[in-house]
This record gives sequence, structure tokens and C-alpha cells, in this order.
Amino acid sequence: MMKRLRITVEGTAYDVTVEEMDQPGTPAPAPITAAAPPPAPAPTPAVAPALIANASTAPVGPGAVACPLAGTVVSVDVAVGQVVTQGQTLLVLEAMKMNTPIGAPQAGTVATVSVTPGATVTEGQVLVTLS
Amino acid sequence: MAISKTLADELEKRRSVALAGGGEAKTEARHAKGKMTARERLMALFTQGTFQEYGLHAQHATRHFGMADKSIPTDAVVCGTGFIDGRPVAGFSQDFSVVGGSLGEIHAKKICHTLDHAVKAGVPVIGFNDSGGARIQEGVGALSAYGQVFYRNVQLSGVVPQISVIAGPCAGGAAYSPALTDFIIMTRHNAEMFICGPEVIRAVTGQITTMAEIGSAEAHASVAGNIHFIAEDDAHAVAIVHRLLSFLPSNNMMDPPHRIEPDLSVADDPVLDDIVPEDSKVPFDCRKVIERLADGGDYLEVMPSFAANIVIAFGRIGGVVVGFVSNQPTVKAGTLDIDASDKAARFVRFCNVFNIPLVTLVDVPGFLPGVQEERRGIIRHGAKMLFAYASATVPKITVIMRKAYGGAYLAMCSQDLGADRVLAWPTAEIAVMGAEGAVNILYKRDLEQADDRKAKSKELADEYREEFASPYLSAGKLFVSDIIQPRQTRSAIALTLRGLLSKRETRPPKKHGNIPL
Repeated sequence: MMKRLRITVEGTAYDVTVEEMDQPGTPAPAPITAAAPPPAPAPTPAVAPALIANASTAPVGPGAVACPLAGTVVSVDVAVGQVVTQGQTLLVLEAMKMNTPIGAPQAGTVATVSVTPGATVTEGQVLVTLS
Repeated sequence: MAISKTLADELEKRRSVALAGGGEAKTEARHAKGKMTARERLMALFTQGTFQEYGLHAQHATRHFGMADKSIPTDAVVCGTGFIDGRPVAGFSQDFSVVGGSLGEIHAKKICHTLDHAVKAGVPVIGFNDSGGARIQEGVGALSAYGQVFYRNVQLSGVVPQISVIAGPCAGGAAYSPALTDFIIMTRHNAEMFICGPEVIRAVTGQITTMAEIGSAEAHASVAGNIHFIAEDDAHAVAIVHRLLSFLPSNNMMDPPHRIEPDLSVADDPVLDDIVPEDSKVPFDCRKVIERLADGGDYLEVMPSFAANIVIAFGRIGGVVVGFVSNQPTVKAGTLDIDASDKAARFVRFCNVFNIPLVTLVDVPGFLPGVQEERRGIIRHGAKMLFAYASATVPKITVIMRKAYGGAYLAMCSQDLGADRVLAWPTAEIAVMGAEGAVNILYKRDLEQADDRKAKSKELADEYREEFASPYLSAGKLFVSDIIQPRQTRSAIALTLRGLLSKRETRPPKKHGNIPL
């Protein structure tokens, strides 16, 4: 059983995936021998649109703006509650001899800002969430 | 004496059955979903009236499970040759409307023949993949048939360009044939490609996922890096094939289709002077530079959404087809990481094997630091860049626009890796490491004793930058051929390229090098 949790440590939000190993009633993952992948691709004309769910491909929760690379926050250019357009600069990150503006992946309202100027951030860390 | 009517009629009858493929109802259903039929795809690919079919009358070899008497027109794949822009090209197109486009012995034999023809004739080959997979009624014979296709894909690699279009399902082992080809185009809708689908993944590992997450064009283009282009539909996929071919030679013994004019314009382009910002910490979009360098601003970016910190593209400069490789300062500060190295290295090797000169544009602060990068093997991945550039014998021109630091500087086709000409802009910073980092090591004691450590560090860093990162230092040691104004770049590259069209560089004979994979 996989669960996704958001943990906030000193104002910094981290999205984590937790697996419950010994939850009662949940069968252990099937033994490998019982479910070996087919040696050859099966003719599966049935695998078409029905399986293409519209699930998000984002690694973290929807609206979360993740840090592209480790660095230092130079400035935070938005505040909670502010309406932003797609591409608008949310904050500027200094990393690898460059000030990289982090733009909004989509239009929305700033729900949380997890960092302040001067903060050291790591790759994948959620900087801002949009709703 | 005319041909007997009976014989003529029989041919027409057999033709019409085979040409109908899966029949009218299935064709209509495909059209309703915005999909072409297998045959329509080839008709759109080739110039009208030039398609010559191979194996229209093929009969399948499926003997078991009551299949022997079943009709499978063309054995579910349309094959042949035709012309595109006046050049001969081979192609095959799997027909999903006939037994799910499943691959059996004869089906594979037709594909293999098409590939064999392509290599003998020295022509590119285009494959439309739209198949449910192996025809399991043919058992291990179908599996072997895949192996025969893979074997040929490898024999053709580096001899003729191979382009795959994923225009339907392409599952399991079937995905390895496109993976062995040079370019993969995938339609945004109606196509999926994976080794193990969500159901198998769930059964074996318990992980819950979706087709969108693992097998969609979007996922392959941005996360996995398995495909090079997303097409909106079949017609768009064909258009991408045509555009791609416009930059490629028909085989490895030919030059790419240069469009050399007798007179070469060597005018300055002042727009280039304004692209690099004064503050070296401010990013700029490197595609603006490529656009100014390419004839008519016309270039074709490959893999635009994967490892966007490096940009690869085809274009022409002064009529000469080139492959551009450029750091992208707007993404991850233009650093080289594992994915960027893989992407650029394979592109460099493609260009080299098909005689396409390389133009490398440099603004790289270094390799991306990080625990994950180190643990996932940035050493062996980054080494691919060095290997690819050092082994490339095509004309190699490098322009250092701004940052060129450390090992990443070497990896971006430095003079030491055999660049024929290295041009630097006055904005270039070429050094073994960044000024701040270097100062921390070189002046450790001075900094510890300084009253204002920050001010002292900045002062020393500025000094270091001036003295050791200056392009004149590198030019003085002949690591740089010349320092030019950005406005002179296009004409400088055009002149150099023209002077290198006759380049010959031989290496010791060997089976092949051992690139770190």
C-alpha cells in the first residue's frame, strides 16, 4: 500500500511516498514466479483508450513547483494569495553561476510559499504551490 | 494479342482484396478516431504515384489455432519503396486493422526485405509501427521474427538513416525495433509504447501507474527520452519525416543535402551582439543564437522537451547542413547532467556517422553537482560526450559564447577534443573552475585571516576572473583560434565550414571503440 504524504519541516514542504509493509489485510506483493512478465509481447488490441487515464504525470502534487536544481533563493517575487499567470516569475534561484527565474508552470493563485530569500534549496524540493 | 480477361480479372480481384486491408468498417472507425490506415500513411509519405509495393500478395504462415484458412491481407504490413523530394526511400507500415497488426513470420520477412533493400540501395527507411505485438499463434517463430528485424536494424545503423513512427500500440519486445533506429516520432494520441504495461507492473511490483505516466508520447518525450518528436496526428508525423529527411543524406557514403550557393555572404549580423546579457548571471535562450546562425532562421530542434538544458538541432549555415549542440542557460543554468550528456552524445554520433558537420555553442558552468547525479553515474554518462566528440571526424566548430568551466568545457568540443576552429566571444569565461570556488582553495589562509571575509573573497574572485577566466588567456595559449565579435559569428562559421567540406581525417582501424554506455 503506497501513500503520499506532505511533511513540512521548518516551513519547507517535502512530498514523500510511504509504503506500508505490514498493513493487516493487504496481501504481500505477488511472488515473482506467479507473475513473471510475459516473454513475448502479447497481442493486446484491447489496450487502447480505456487505459489512458488522465492522471497527472507530475512527480509531486498538482500545483507544486519543484526546484530544478540545488542552489540559493535570491528573491521571492510572489506572496500567498497572489494571482499569477503562466510563466510569471515566482522566485529567482542562484545556482551554478546563474540567476535562474522560476516561472509558474500554469496560471493560478499562490497557495503556499515554502522558502525565503537566502534559503538553501535542493533539487526536487517544493518551493511554491499554486491552486 | 491482349492478355486473357480471366487472368487480368483475377489480378484485379486479388489486388482489391489485399488493398482493402481490414475492410471498410475498420477503415471508417480509424478515420473517426483521426487515424490513417496503414496504406494511407505510406501514400502520404511518398510522392503521389511513386509507391512500388513489395509483397501485396503475401500469404501468412500461421498454421495453428484454426488460423490456417483465415485471410490476412498483406499479412498485416504494407511494404515498398517510393520517392520523397525526388529521393528514393523505403518504407513499411503495420496494419492494425488486420489481425491487430500482429507480427508473424511472413510479416517480419516483408519488413526484413524492406530493410535489406534499404541497405543495398543506400536509401533511408521509414517504419510505421502500429501493432498488437507478436502473433502468439505462431509461437516462438514470431519471437524469432522480431529478432531478425532487430538484427537488421543494427546492421543498417550508421549506414542509412532509420526513422520510426509510433502511430499505435508498440508493446513489449516490439518497442526495441524503433529503439534501435535513429529517430522516433510518436503521435500524441492513439499511440502507446512500453515494455511492461501498467497491469504487469502492478501484478509484479504492486506499483500503481497509468499508461499516460509510462507509455504516452508525452512521457517518452519529456521524462524517458525514448522519442525525438511528438506529432499531433499521422499527417503531422509524415511532415516531420519529410522535414527530417531534408537534412539527412541517403546513406553514410553521401554528403547531406547541402544547398551551397556559389557566392557566400559574409555580412555581419549585429543582432547577435545583443543576445548575451551584460550580467553573466542572467540567462538567455540559446535558441535565439541558433535562429540567427541558421540560414533563414530555419532549424529543426530534436528532443525539445527532454534534457532541455542542452539543445540539439539541424539547420544550414551558408547552405551547409550542420548539427547544432548548445548549452541552454535558461534550464538548470545550462549545466551538463546525465540526460543532457546522453542526448547530446548520441546526436553527435549520428551527425558524425552521416557526415553532418557539428557547430557547438558553449555556455556551460559545469557538470551538475548532486548526490543523485554521482550515484547514477554522471562519470560514465558525461564521458559519452568526450567520447562522441573526440571520435567525431566531421568538421567541428566551437563557439564559446560565455561560460566554459572545467570538464564541461572540455566536453563541449574543446580544441583538445579535436575542434577544427574554436571561436570565443569577448564575453567568454574559460577556466578550470568558477572564480569563487577557485579563490576559496587558492586563498584559503588569506580568507581565514581577513577582517571582512565576504569583501575579500569578492575582491579576489574579481581579480581571478579578470586574470584567469579571460578568453585572451586561452587565446594566448592557443586553446582558442580567434576571438570575434558576436556579429561576426555567422560569417566566420560559414567560411570555416566551406573550407572544411573536403576535410579528411583518418583514425587507426578497429572494429569499434568502447564508448562508456
